Amino acid sequence: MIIKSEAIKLLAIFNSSCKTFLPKKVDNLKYLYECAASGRDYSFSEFKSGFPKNPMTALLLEHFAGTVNAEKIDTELVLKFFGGIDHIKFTLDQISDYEKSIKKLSRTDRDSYLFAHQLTPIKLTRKWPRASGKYLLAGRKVHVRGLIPHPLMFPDSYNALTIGGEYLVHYATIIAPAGDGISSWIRNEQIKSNEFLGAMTRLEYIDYKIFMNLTNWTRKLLKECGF
Amino acid sequence: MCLAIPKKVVEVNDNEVIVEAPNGNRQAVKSIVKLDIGDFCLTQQNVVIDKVSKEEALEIIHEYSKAKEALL
Repeated sequence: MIIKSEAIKLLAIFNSSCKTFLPKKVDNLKYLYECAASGRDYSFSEFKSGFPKNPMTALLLEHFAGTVNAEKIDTELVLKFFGGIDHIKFTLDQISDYEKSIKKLSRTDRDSYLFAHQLTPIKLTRKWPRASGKYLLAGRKVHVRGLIPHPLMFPDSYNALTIGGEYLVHYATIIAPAGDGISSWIRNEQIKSNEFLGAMTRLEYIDYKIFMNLTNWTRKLLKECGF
Repeated sequence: MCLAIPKKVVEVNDNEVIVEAPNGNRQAVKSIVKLDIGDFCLTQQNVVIDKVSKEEALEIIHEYSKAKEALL
């Protein structure tokens, strides 16, 4: 199996957005950015073996590719991995493990984490300062604030964004412009989850400057990676 | 993989490994990684996904303890 160059770029962007407590995060990210910069496709085994530490995203993506019988990992597969029902189930498992191993979460934190961890098509309502948007799904609406356009996808930063445009967002990071096809696919997947719909019913907004301190954390991480 | 939590191996059996979470809760997990009592590992959905050094495990647990009030 191969992983396409553009899919590696997307994976690097996703990994920059995902807050983790695992060590060597920056080392893994630098590796991903190096692979993306090479502009070539990789055999998946070569790609996986190059990670300095814990290639868990790669392992999970490989597992997902197997479940959908994909012959290659391309951008569509990466977007579907982060935006599909399996990712919601995976997140619920993580929350359950966290609560059994560390402590119970408040309902709001639980809902915020579940929502934030999914790839969502967000309609931009404000660019700067504090880029904001909203996600509408099945009569529910969640506002998100404190978004950051990823510099690899949006070199012109906030200037590249259009108010009213739809963008794919993961945590506080604007990953890419949303196409109609992928937005519909994500909505059709996420609407299958009662837990996700329940979280959207209860949540009014998530401000990433507050929740997990994600806006500042993402900026700091991007700086450490040379952006 | 944002919330992978390091757990300590407290018992190794033929078909499963018993691991202990930072709060003392124990669970049985499957592992294809060779583990000994006292090792630390990361689990996902009751499966060991990686072995980590004690230093790494303590570093992650320390980060969680710092984050408990501020982040989640």
